[in-house]
Amino acid sequence: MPPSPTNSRSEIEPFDAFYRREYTRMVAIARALLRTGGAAEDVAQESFVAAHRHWDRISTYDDPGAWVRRVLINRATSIRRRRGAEQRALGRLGQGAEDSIPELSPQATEVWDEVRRLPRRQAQATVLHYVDQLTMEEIGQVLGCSTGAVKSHLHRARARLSTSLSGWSEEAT
Amino acid sequence: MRHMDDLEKRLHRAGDETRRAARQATPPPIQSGRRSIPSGWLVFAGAFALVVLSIGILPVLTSRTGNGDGTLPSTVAGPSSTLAPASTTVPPVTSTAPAIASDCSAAGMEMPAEQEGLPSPVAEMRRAMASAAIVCDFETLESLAGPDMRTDFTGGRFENIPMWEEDDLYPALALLVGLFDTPYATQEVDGDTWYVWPSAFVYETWDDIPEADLDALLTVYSQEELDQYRQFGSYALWRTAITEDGDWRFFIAGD
Repeated sequence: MPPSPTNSRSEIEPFDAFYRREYTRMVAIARALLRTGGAAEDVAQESFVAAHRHWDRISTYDDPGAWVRRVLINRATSIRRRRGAEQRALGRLGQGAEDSIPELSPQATEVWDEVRRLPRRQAQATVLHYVDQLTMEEIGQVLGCSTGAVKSHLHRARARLSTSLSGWSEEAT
Repeated sequence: MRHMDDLEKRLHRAGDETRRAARQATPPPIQSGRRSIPSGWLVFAGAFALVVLSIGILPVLTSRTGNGDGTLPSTVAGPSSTLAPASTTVPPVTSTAPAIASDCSAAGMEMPAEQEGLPSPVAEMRRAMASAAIVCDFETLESLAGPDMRTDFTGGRFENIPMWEEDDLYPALALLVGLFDTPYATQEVDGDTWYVWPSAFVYETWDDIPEADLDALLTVYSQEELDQYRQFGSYALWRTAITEDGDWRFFIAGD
């Protein structure tokens, strides 16, 4: 389900305004999907570069942000899996850019570590919901699936996380 | 029930904290230059090359003459290789794809610029391959591959490409599109002319590769990556070839 190329908005937003408004949101999504802040910024910027190159077309979509989110989460997932494979094969981690955003707390880090272990769609839906605060419909637009499928992904994700994060309690924080 | 409530709170807290942390990030200026391929895959290209070397396939392939049997064609260098211009003045083709599926490594990439000097069948195949790759259209790509297309030295064909993408061992489609933006070279294989990207592939050694062609490789690889792979003697990284009749013959790495 590609983003609609038909723009119902009255004006085409300049890329610069779009970029400044959306940048930190994209970094946040990538930060949850990747292990380091530096890698998150790399992927976010790369996604915006892609949007910038195609802005004449992307800007005509009803929701250009959905396109960028889709590119971003796929790239973030791809990079994470590739780095995991490297680690398994050669016992080394890929090198990301130096982090320029703060480290997350151990509690938040543990959450995202577990989220990254979820099946891809479940992890993406979880991050788009809890980090980017998108509605089910908006997540469906980004992931290219129905609202019902998004609800199913989130339900399964919560079920798995309730087990993997079961050691946590309100009192432990 | 209490546990699920706790889980919900924890997820929201993690989301809140992650948004706060991300607000510290400052949007850098957007660079208009072309993006390089992410570097992680290169480790595997090297490992792949070493594995191929170690299982003894090398002796039958190291002769840098054309074999024309659908496996790695010759890496003929020197007089028989005709290099294309390193740059082109033809304006880029604008993709007419209505949307990008974005579920592969090439999603969001720009269509490679048209290149001068390519016969029509080659130019059309190159354009069709890149158009399919940037919208992650594996079915079309497979239909373009044809029966003689090779993706590894043990007989693997198109099926490797979606497998690599799925496993993320190689960003195969991103590499393919990236290579099409580098200069090509021609080589003679059993009387046929094959068009090969990148041109670096036809040189005997890295030192023989002209500066302009090395610069073009930097649109696909980082300098660090290229330096790392000089130890293999000649260019043994990813390359792809189309025959003068427009048949896609290989997309392969290793030596």
